Amino acid sequence: MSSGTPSSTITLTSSDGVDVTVERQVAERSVLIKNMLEDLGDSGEAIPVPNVNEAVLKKVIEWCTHHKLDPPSAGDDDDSRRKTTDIDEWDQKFMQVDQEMLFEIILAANYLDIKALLDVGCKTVANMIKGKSPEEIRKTFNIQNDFTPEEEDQIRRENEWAEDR
Amino acid sequence: MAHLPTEIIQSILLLTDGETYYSAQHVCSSWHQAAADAFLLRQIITETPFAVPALDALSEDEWNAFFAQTVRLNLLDKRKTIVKSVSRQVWPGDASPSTVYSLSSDREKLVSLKGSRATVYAYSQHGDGSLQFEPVYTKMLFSLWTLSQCMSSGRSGGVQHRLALSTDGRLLAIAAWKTIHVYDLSEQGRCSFAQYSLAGSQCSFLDELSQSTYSPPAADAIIDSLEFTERDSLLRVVIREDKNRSVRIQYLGRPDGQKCGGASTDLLYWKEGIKHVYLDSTALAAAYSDETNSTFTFRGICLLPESFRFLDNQCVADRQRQGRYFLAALHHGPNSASYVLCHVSALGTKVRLCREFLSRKTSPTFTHWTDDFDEKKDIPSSSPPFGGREQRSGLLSADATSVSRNLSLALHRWHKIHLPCPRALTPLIAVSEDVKLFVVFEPGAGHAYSFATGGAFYVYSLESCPHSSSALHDNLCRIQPWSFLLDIVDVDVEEVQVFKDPSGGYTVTAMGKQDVLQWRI
Repeated sequence: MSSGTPSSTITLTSSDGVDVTVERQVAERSVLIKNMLEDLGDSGEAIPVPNVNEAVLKKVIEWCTHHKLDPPSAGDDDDSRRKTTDIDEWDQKFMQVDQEMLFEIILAANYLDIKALLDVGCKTVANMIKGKSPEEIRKTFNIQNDFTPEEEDQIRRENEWAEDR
Repeated sequence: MAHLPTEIIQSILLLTDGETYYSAQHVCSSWHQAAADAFLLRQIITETPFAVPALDALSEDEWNAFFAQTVRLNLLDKRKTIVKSVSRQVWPGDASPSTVYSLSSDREKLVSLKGSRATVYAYSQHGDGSLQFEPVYTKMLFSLWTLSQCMSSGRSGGVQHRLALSTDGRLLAIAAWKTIHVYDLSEQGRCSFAQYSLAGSQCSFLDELSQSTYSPPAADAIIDSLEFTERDSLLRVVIREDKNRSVRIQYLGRPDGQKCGGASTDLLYWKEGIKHVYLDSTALAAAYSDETNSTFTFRGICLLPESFRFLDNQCVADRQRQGRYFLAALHHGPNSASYVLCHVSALGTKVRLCREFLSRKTSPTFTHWTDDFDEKKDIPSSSPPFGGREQRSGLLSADATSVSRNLSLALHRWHKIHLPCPRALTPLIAVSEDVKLFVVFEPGAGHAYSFATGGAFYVYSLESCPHSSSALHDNLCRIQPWSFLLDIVDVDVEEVQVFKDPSGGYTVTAMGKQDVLQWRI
């Protein structure tokens, strides 16, 4: 590890205080870290990642390692990307984790600003809710139906014809 | 899940289709709020094959209303919760092979005709779920007329009696060959009846103009089926004219007439009423063709309840116009057809096309149903999300599988597989009591071979956008109802009905020769 230039690896500190060493190129998949490194210069100090615990951080690094050579994503709002909920095989396997972990990954990707990973996470969730009824979605994700009777009533009215009101 | 930040929920929603989006809206309040965003709503509505206004043309509330109405008109909330069941039609025990049966339109009474003995049964269900048939009326009917009818027709034997039973079980209409008799089964002793014959030209009409456009049924016409409708005040008769290869539908009776006297459920009413042709599909087509200077035919005509009003400019402007609305498949030449909602005025027959429902256009080179879409390219290969349902509902797994297969085939809501291709000679149309949706059965559709038995069911919304002058509603009026494929079946279906459940859902019931198919929507 130490044979390369000093900048080839960096250390991240997870929220539970564990240091993880990664290749700089891998860590730079995260726009947040990339910007920090640019701003701070390479001090060799560990970079704290306060919102992400060790298990999730390792998972995210695993993804970044596999995708380190990916070309940077095209435009932000290209329409062809939208709607295609196809996920490549490696990513599908990668996302076969329990729901808790899936959401932690999504939140971490959001925090660390790793757009492609956030995308894969959202697609995974979109595929999980696709074609389901509200009740089935609640069951899938253990969500409480927290509508008050008034809100239910309001929603029912929203769905009526404008003229009915 | 619920604790995800709004913008992440929105990123997820942006990746879903309209149906899923609608579900997601109703999961919990944080999702509801996330889904109320104008930009997201517009993105989802952009998927629909209709014109969509610019983002800033509508306010957020209006976008929400637009989406809600798109959902309603396209039945986005209906397709996901379908449960199919198949059962055998159970007949009373004492049947012989020649016994003919019919159910009343509310499916609560059953009539059997064995020889010349008609028996009406009421269903009752035992605690263990088995059906019990309780005889209500029994009566020996006609004697000679059937026999003479058969003989005069020149074909020996083989005359199939067709039956129709009124909802109270008292009136029985029997059709044999070209003649219909109506009997009162509660009448003791005497055996009088009302008679209508295709051959006899003793008809009066809904209006004067029908007289001019009416042409009597061809010489080879025979009655194919009949049923009581409109609280038993009309008889809907399907007449087959083999030579012209056409099917004519007549409504007999005069529900608005005062002359007949007595309630519609009376034999007295029918003695007069049966001679009155209330609607005739051929006459309607002739009237419509005259107006448009072109040749049209109506198939599968289905009269809508009198209370039905179609909201559009013309009707609002002329509310007092008398007349009736009906649904039908409108054919124009061999390759052009669609399902339509029409209005026929009572005075000076004017048939007006109110609304044309989207359907697949048949190309002149049409050969097979499957040619209309490219199977490999158009059908999403992802696994159907409906797989789990069949185990839970505990149905015949084959049928549940077929529904899930059909639904997965039709996964994309705006795929043309959801649209019928109205070319059948005898489409069946059934309307729900609240006139909010209708189901069409296209015999022969849905299969690769045109000679296959069975056919395909499609469900349309019949609701119309309320008329209003505001810009919002002008936009909304461009939303077209896009039907969905309910199922493809191998059973030859003779009758389709739609019932409204107390819970707000609908049940589509299709009767085959022996099987009863039901879908809970």
